[in-house]
Amino acid sequence: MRLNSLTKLLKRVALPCLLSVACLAGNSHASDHASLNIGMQLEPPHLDPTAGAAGAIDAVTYANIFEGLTRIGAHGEVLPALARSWKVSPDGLSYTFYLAKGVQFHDGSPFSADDVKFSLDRARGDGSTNAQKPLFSAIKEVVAVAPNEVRVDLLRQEGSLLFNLGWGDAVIVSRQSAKGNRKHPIGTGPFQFSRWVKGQEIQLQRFDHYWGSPAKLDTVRFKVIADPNAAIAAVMAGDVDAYPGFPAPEALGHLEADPRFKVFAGSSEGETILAMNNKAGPLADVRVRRAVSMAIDKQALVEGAMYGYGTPITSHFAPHHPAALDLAAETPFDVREAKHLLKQAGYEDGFTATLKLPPPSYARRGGELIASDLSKIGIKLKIVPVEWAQWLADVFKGKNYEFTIVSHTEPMDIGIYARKDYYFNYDSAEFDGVVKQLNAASDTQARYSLLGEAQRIIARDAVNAYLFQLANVSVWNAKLEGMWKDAPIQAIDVTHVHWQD
Amino acid sequence: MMKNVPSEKASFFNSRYSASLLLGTVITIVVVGTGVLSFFWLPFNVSSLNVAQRLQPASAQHWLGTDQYGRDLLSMLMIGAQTSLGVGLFAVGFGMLLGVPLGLLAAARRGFVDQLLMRFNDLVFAFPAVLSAILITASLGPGALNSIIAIGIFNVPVFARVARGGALSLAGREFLLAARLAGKGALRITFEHVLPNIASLLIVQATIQLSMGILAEAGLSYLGLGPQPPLVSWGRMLNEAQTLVSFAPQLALIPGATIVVAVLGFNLLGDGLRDLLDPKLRGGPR
Repeated sequence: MRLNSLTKLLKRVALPCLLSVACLAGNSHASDHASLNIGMQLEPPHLDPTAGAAGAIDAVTYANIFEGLTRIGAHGEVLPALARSWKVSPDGLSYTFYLAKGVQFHDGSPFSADDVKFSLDRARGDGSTNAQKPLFSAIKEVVAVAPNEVRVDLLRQEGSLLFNLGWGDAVIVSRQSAKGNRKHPIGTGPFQFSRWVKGQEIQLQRFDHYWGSPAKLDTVRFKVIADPNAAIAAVMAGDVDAYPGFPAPEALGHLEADPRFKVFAGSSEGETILAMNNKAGPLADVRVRRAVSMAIDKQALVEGAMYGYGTPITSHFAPHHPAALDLAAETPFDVREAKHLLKQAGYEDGFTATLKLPPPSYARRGGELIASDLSKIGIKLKIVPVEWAQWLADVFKGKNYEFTIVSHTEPMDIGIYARKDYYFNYDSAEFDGVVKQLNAASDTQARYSLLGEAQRIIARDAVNAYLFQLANVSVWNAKLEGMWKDAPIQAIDVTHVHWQD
Repeated sequence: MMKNVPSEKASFFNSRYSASLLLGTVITIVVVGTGVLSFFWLPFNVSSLNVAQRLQPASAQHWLGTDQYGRDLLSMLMIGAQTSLGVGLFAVGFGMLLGVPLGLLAAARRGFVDQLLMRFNDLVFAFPAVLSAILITASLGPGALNSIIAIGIFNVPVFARVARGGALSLAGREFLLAARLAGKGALRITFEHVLPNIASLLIVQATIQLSMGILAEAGLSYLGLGPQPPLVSWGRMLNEAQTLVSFAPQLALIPGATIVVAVLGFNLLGDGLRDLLDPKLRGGPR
């Protein structure tokens, strides 16, 4: 009896002992030189980049499975893709694209100018579910001139047309397979979709009939690993060979010192914001939103949540862009003034609200720090962690939230503040006017000053609290070459990735 | 052969104080004491994060150093005791409140009611408790209340069995017959005579269940399914410390050790109390 109870006791005590020992040990298995495993934080809701806003869709499909007329390169430059060259009419209102020859879709059907017309018309059409419809707003008509020649006529000059057409949302799909792309994407890229184990991984295979230079890898697996602990363990054990957007910045020093890995901190287009529902209770009052913005110590946030990887921002704009303004003076970190504003708005004793946090570590960790900051001005936040699919449905589509933290990783996306059905619930005629002018402007200087104006308006209105620009922190196997260091667009382009011998 | 359940007084004076009882009592008093103390006083405020002070080693000011957000680790452990004990106590209370009446009902009614209740009990019992708690919190959503429910549900059959077994062992005893002769109803007999006599059994079981509740809460929190920030939980402290283990191992070891000690304390206390109160286990003549 005594012995028995002792064994039982040991059993009961053994579990917490195990819990307290973080088991990170693992052996790096020898990677074969034809496959690549990539870690990613969020699982895409589906795989059709022309029908969803989630960056994870583009991360898997961009350049790998789908191609557009143009594409964005590793440094943000516009490169030819399916359009090998193009000609712009002198008035800037007509673009003629000369398409690559011998291109076929992964299902074997041939690619031609008709597919381009179909794809662009579908993206900008009335029934379109495209998440970035404004990219195509300048297009008047798409004409298939010849099997390998497409003309795009514009309503107005659009300086960024070639850039816009390089987005994942503007890729070319086939009329036959367009509907099935959510589950089984069929594009023209060097990799074809092979299988998707929900909650675990998406597998791509090299497409042997690719028209361009073939990919060097046979198989690429995108593995969904959101938890920072699991991410470290997966990298250490060699379960993933590369992890762009690594969720555990605190471990980078340790990984950097390990000769098996390379660590990079590049730039990204990810503006991380504390989004506020501009129609929810107290948050409808600009004074409250300004108070929230002023109560947050952004520098401490970058330090605390990201271990210094990131740059504080003052508006919804990438600080490395030449048109970026420093608008810190709009809502400086000032707890006393924040309290004063809350008092003016009638919330002297603060209020209670919920903060919904998606899985990425920037959100989960940042949320704790922000809750602490806001508690100092009397706003009590109830933290509700949500899964990614739930966040997309409930917060992003359903607008059922008060506060949330998320990173907007699309480049040059300040235009989302002019969308009436967007989840911020922001509505400003002044801002809409600026965006309208911006869309019509082609002169760089004029565009920059309008972009500045747009940044100023949303900073003044404190639509959201602008936190920091996400750094694109990646960990790669030291023998891996050809991955992107920066993230100028949502993509994990593996078309040129290869193993060193 | 069952002996009479001894009176409180007799048991205290006649028993040997076992080492486990003593150690268990001391640990339990310390854990509960710090939990209670943390309601009134903490060395540092843990609700306000101070990144500039993070990951400091132990010092005269911060006895156990600070965590990754600059919070005082000792204060975190103290206030974490609130969460662990709170979730544990409420979960055990939940189990007792449902389980004991069910067990007593089964014992009083016997027959079909007994069969039905106990087979249902077996059904719940058949699921591994911690795994099912994970399942429940994963579907209901994380949080303190859901953790209490998830852990509590698996305490119900435990208490139902103990109450039923204890009550059945009293069946046919003279004082119960006397009560019945005096015209008392089944309900009154159960509450006035049966319940007081199985109270010690229940207390012992509750102490042991509490230790399991604390462990389950730590497990759920470790998986991110337990109480959410700003509530502090030992399990979540462990989880968050895991990525820092290569350069701040104390952040994982200290909460881990705290969980071990707290669970050990309640277990020792429970075993000690059982030895003390259960006549079957007492060695030698009384």
